[in-house]
Amino acid sequence: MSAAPSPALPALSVEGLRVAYGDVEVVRGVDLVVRPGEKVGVVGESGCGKSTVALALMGLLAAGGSVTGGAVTVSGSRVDYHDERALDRMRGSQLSLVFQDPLTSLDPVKSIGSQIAEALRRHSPRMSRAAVRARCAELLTAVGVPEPERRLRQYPHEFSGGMRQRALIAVAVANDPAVLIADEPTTALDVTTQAQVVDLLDSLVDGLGVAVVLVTHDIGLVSEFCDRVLVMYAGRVVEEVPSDVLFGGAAHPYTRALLESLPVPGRPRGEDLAWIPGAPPPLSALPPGCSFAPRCAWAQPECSVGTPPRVVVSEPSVAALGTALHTAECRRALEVPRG
Amino acid sequence: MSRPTSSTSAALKRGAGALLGVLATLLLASVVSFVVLRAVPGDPARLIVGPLATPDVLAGVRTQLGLDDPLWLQYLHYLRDFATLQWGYSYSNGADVTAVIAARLPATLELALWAFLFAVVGAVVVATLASYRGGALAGVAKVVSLVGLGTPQFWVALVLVLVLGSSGLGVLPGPSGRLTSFLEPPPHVTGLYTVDGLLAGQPIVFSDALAHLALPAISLALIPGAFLTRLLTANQADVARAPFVTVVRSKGVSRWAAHRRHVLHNALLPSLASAGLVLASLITGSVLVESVFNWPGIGQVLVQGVQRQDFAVVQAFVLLSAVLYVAANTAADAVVALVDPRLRVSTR
Repeated sequence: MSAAPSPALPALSVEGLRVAYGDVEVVRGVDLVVRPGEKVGVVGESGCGKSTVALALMGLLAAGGSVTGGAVTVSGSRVDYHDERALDRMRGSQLSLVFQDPLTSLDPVKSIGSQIAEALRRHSPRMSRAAVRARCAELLTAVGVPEPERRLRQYPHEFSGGMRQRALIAVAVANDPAVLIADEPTTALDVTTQAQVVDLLDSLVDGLGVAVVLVTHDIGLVSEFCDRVLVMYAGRVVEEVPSDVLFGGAAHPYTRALLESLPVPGRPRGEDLAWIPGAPPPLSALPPGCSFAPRCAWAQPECSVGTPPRVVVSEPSVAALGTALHTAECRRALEVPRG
Repeated sequence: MSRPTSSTSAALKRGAGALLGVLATLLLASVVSFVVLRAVPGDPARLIVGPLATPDVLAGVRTQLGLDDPLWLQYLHYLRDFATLQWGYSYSNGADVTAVIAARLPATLELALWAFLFAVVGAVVVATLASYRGGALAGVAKVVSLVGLGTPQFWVALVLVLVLGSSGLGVLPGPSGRLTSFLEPPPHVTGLYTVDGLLAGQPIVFSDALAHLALPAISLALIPGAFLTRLLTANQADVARAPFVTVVRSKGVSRWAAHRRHVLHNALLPSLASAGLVLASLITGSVLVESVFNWPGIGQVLVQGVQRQDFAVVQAFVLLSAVLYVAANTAADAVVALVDPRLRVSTR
């Protein structure tokens, strides 16, 4: 559990993950490998399936959703999404979740202390009360909540948004998990608090060697925080790119369009932001060929025929030790000017 | 965010506010019960003395009853007498109303408390299973609770007596009061036979009293039980969708444990206030069921009182009901404030 696996063994490996709600496939074959201590971002517009990936990995899809294909391995052992008891043992101890909205992610009628203790007791039932309390205080201190003894007795409504998210991070790291999945952890927070929470996550990752999957629509956050970025569109990963080449080196037309639509401080006032024409296709009626083709400025007739190939944009450098493969799922990935 | 300096004064303010509200409600109820009965046509003095009495006798009785006084004075006397537990004498048979009600209240209370227990336990079990399991079970629970809400109590009472009572399957005693006739009531402590039976170490009395209680209490519990089931099912469905349940599951807590510890807990809190009102309505609303089961509670006294235009009895009952309602409501609010951390005044 807490013993870090050998660096060669990925903390989380996902191959061809497919998720469907009823007849509609919302995640259509996602591959993802995260090594211990690595931070991988998953970005995309709302509805692209990124949050579904997070919940599917936890085995906590909403009613009606199910994993219909693919293999997930955590610290070398295959996850069986039909074995609820095994899933319960894995959740919180191997794989944990920091959820979107800290204001609604804590039980309003239980003390902060009891909610952290719940995670500890679940996986270490023999821990004494005193040990649990001491560990809870230690965790709150670790996530930067002052006066932990007093704060543990308080209730969520006595915590600010940022403090609640810190408490939730304490819950998530309580059992030294191998993988931390953070689903929009900063979206509901104001900008200064966002920065603090990101710094906290960063320092925890460095200290614990936990692998992080950061799911967000905030491409700026991802480029700062993550080592690698996966860009999702209509349920597929359309580009996987090292974050240091994201700005200026993105190859997929969709990624480029996303980057161009970011507001840039200092841009002349009144100038329109770039935007992507059209809307993502409904997942129940995807266009043939590349899903992005109907909105793509670079599309050619053959883009609407057959699955676009996965193109290696640049081989990883020796220094990067294989972590920085850059691929894009686009026929014209090498022709499109990088932007 | 604690406010250590202002917390005591805030608590005092809240307590004072609640007390004022209670007093205002009671005053209003007393005015209504006083005015309504005085506004009804008919003369209780005439009822007492009979149609053949001379005007002198009639006037004498009117003076004796205080019916000659101005209305406001009658009202003040009425308030004073109620507060000092001197609820007067029955206009129709001269019995001491306080004594009559005191003698009959325990039977009604016992019935109401057991019905409340049945309603709450039944509602919690059915609503929790229905919202946890969902599917067909939830559908059945919904239909049953809707039917339960719309079924007249006295009809249920009659059906239960006919099917399970002595004339039917004979599993439970029919309308034969609180105890089998050869059993002595247990030594009086609370007046509730089940409790007193246990206190006196008489298990036979306890089980016999419970058997006599079962059918009337179930009839009485049906409507409030169905109401609480609907309320709790809806609350649990709402809470189950909250993001914090996903977070609890992400700790590795099983679905059932998460439901029990977090969903049920959060769903119960807003139902507590309703449960207080349900208890009050059970105590004051058992008239029909009491008559079907020949239950020696206050319901029958009330019915007679209304028929005979017996101001003293009816007024005492109406105001007593108001006091019970207000007390149950205030108690429920106090319990909610104690158990819901969001309403607790921070003392830290």
